[in-house]
Amino acid sequence: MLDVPIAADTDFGERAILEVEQYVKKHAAHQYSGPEEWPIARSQISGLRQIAMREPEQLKDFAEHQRQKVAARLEATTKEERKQELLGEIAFWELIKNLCDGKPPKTHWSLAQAREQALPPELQEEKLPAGAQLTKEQQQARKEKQERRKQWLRQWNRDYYAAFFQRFCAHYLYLMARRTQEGGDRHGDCEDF
Amino acid sequence: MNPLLTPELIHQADSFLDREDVHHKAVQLGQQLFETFGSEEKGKGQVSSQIRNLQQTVVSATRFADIEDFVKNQMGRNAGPYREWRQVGDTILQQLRELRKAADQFTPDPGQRLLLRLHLARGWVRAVVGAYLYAKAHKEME
Repeated sequence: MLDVPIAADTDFGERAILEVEQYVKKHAAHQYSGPEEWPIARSQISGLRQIAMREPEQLKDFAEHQRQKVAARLEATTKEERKQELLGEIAFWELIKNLCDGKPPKTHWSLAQAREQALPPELQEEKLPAGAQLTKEQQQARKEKQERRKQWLRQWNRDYYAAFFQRFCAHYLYLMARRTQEGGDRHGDCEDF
Repeated sequence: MNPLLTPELIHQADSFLDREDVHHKAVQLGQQLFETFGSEEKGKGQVSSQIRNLQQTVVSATRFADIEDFVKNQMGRNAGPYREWRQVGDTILQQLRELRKAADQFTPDPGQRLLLRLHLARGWVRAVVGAYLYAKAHKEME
């Protein structure tokens, strides 16, 4: 596994950009004239970035919660044009969920898959045979290993989710700026800089 | 992986930055940044805070992506001088892409490439800010 700065600069960064490009091409290519009409508002992108950096383990649930809210709006909508916009929003939150922990064969790449590949062999989970009896020392060693594994996973999430979604969000905002005219709305601006 | 820059690699990177076409583009960008951002009004002709932010980001970056993301974020904002950033952002990103490409040509080692990209970016921003300051000084002498 590449170091975080290298991964952010190469594999992960390129993947993040590619995912945004593909989403935008499919759901926000030509039909939006202003940033306020884009499927996902700045404030939501800002929220996504904050969660990815601070509480990466919560990101999938956040995306699911957002998806459900949009799905409820979709149920109540009769206008065809609005339905298409809402479907675009739903696709975005599904994309985020898949990027977090999509599994093959449906999803070819996800952070969960990358994390699994990166997990050191000495931290791999061992399944005990049925009825196995462990000595106190073995139980203690197993407990310590689980704790190390937990810490490793937490650190990996903090490092790599942040690296990935920093690029993802910056590129989304960049495309939003490039593909629309002047951004006029004053809501939800990112104050990171 | 050897995450150290050899004197040869540093020399190659510096020679790249010194190339006529590369230096010329950096100088042109510095002039464009002055035309776009000018000087800080409140501070009696101080260097634009946007230029300082760009410089600071480049100098402190631990990954090249941070620099690219900084420019994209500035362009993607809807408050502050986002219109100005949108005028110059693509030129900056293009020049950063050229630095990235150059680093990839000089070494196959991912760790060295990262260090080399950052080394190139720091040299590049010195040339850009230098040209900005020169344009600013010229304007003040008028």
